Amino acid sequence: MNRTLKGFMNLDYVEIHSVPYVESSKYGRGTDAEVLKKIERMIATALITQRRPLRGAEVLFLRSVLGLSQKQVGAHLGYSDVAILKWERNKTRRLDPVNEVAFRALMAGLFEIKLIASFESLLGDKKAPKKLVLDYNKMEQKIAA
Amino acid sequence: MDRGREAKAILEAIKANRFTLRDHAVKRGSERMLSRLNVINIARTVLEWKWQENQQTYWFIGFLDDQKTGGFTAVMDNGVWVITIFKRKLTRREKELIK
Repeated sequence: MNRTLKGFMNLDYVEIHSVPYVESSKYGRGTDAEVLKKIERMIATALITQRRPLRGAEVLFLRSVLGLSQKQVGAHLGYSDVAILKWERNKTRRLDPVNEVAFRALMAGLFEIKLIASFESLLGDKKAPKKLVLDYNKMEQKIAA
Repeated sequence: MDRGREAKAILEAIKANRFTLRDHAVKRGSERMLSRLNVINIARTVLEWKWQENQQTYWFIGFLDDQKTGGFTAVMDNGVWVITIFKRKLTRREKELIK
């Protein structure tokens, strides 16, 4: 049984199709943790590789998915945990270009995603985040291939 | 299975990423910015647990990351179901327990 998940971890523009779910007569619908793990990875990859603008919401999402603390992320970038907290607190404010590039490059490394390393290619699109539509089935087929 | 053993089995399953997150928990998690990994972290660092007779669920509290604490409720129903996730400050008694 599949369905569409809309909005994920405060990223209201995200839409994932063909997500498998389980059903219990007592507890209703639920999603398997392994499926959620793959979805998290799918969204993270899209955010990093599609030059999406990185705002507080995206920083918080990517950090949470990796299970890192603000202190750990700050240590990688040479900032304090308070600096990362400030980025995350303002969910709709985009990072400064230098921070956006550094954060995207850091996340690419931690997620083991290869990127073309030019400043422009790591800087997000100037437009506000557009709808991000992903398909779980297609991603599974791609992995299998 | 007694309550202690069942609670332990739930925690072991969660640590191994073998659980189902109920839609309600996914929604609450999104609102409170709590992820699947936070649930696993709580399971790894459980400070206290109890069986809630009214709700018929197990209640766990532990660490979300280095400093913050949170919890979840879970139950066994053909596998482990996480019913809800929440952030919660430690009570004075819990702080003393850690010391």
